[in-house]
Amino acid sequence: MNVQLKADHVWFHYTDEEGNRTSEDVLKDVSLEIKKGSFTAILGHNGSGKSTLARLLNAILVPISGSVWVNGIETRDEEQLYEIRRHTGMVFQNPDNQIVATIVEEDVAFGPENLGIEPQEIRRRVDEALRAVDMYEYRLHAPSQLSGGQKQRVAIAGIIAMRPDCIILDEPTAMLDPRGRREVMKTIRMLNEEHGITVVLITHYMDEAVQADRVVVMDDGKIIMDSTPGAVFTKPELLQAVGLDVPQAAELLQSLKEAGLPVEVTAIDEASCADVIMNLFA
Amino acid sequence: MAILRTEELTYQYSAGTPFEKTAVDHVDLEIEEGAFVGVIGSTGSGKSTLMQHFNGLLRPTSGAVYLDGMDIWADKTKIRDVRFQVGLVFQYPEYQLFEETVYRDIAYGPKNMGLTESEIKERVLETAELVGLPEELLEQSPFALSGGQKRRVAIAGVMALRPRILILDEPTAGLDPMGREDILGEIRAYHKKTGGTVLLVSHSMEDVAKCAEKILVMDHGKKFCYEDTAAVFRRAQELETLGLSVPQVTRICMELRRRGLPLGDDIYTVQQAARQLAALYQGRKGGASIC
Repeated sequence: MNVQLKADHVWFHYTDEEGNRTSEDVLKDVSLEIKKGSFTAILGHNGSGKSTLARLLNAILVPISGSVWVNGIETRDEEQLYEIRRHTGMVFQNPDNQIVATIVEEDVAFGPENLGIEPQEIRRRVDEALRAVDMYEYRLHAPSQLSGGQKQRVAIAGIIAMRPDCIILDEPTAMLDPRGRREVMKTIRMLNEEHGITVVLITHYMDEAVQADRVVVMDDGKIIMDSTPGAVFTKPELLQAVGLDVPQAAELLQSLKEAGLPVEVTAIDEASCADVIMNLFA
Repeated sequence: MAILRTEELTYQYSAGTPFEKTAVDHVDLEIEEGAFVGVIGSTGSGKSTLMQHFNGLLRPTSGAVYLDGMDIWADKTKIRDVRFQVGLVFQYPEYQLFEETVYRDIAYGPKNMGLTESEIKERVLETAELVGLPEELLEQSPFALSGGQKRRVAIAGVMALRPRILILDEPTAGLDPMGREDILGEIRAYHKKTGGTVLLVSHSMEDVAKCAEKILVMDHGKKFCYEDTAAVFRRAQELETLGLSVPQVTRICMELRRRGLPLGDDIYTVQQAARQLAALYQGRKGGASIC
């Protein structure tokens, strides 16, 4: 079994308690397969449906029609919810909404405790998780004394300590500064590369999506692009049309092209952009 | 003339406990009236703490804050007046909406200032227009709005005070690229229209590069520098050691200069870079084709 997450012709709209529709279609016939051990970024502006998709992938929501599978278990099967959540951790945008304890290390221990893990093992996992996110020295602090970025790293540590095989992160860095964002991204890459954890990163930051193996671009409830970062981000017009940023490297090449210089938009990172420009002057 | 000045401003959190931390450390600063200032610094650099001193939310452990040359703490009973003159928009201000209608939420500040109904109405309508809130939204509940619109209502509530200094702490946090552009555009419009002083706290160098005339860089509670925008970006390498990332286009131009292209060392927008590169190209290739 090589597929971690699978969405099959998923349609979704929100409903009230009586089941009456309260929104337009948020997802429109979305199909997606995410391989085990992969790092996928789902990119889109607010309202594109990306966060709803994330919630469906973790069985917080279930599709109106179509189906979602986690590790081969269909999310509609409520009896399997525990099993699904054990394998798939979710990190949200606002760290304040996901911290439950009054001491950092207790917060990280909350998940593993609920899984019924031995105290000694919990101690080990908590320390390891806090070191992984570089928050070990704050283990005895109160979360309220931490900055937003630090809280977010604690929330991620809480997930790591549960040893899931998949982590879905819904705009985890939206509230962080560049250093905090770099650290969180480094942590995410480490989880993927060294621990083989499947990562699904929901973001509207293109510089984060660039670090994934695969970028899925959503707009208006549909997947409009699904490819490697290099292929997605060298199409500035398409991305800008759906309200997304492009790397400044691609934007610069695009501007030069529009000014009539003989260049193609082929680079998204600094060094290869500099190569392209130096070729102009060769 | 400086509208705001700090002298040896120092603030310690939890003084006398094991968690004692100097958040602002001997900061001397002079902000000119009418300036658009970007304030940057990584998490924990003290920028938010510093801002909270400017309207008297925090009282310095030592040192002083002068508004128009007057120490704001000289007379404690006047601090309320300082808060009308220095408006502070917190991070995620939409969590502070509370009124039944958008109109009443924006009107809350002006009302507390003791303005008349007609003055209040004028302020509300003018400010709503400035931040792009259509008039028909004014009688709706703010809680029924989208995230971006809620944030506009919250920002408008502070702008409606017409503070002499408007401080915005991360006004674009959590918004997508389009929402970010819109809000920044509205803040620029406010600055242009009112001529007031604006302090924009941001993690985003790109945002600051687009708006600010001057930039204050904070690091570990200290003022790292306070200079013109171009001058600050000239120190790109130093900024990176502070954990601040300069715009990608600045890094590309640094690399091109290193490889021998004669570009300026103060490029911080794509437009600037494209203009210089196109001119350089035309100069070289144009010259060559004539020969």
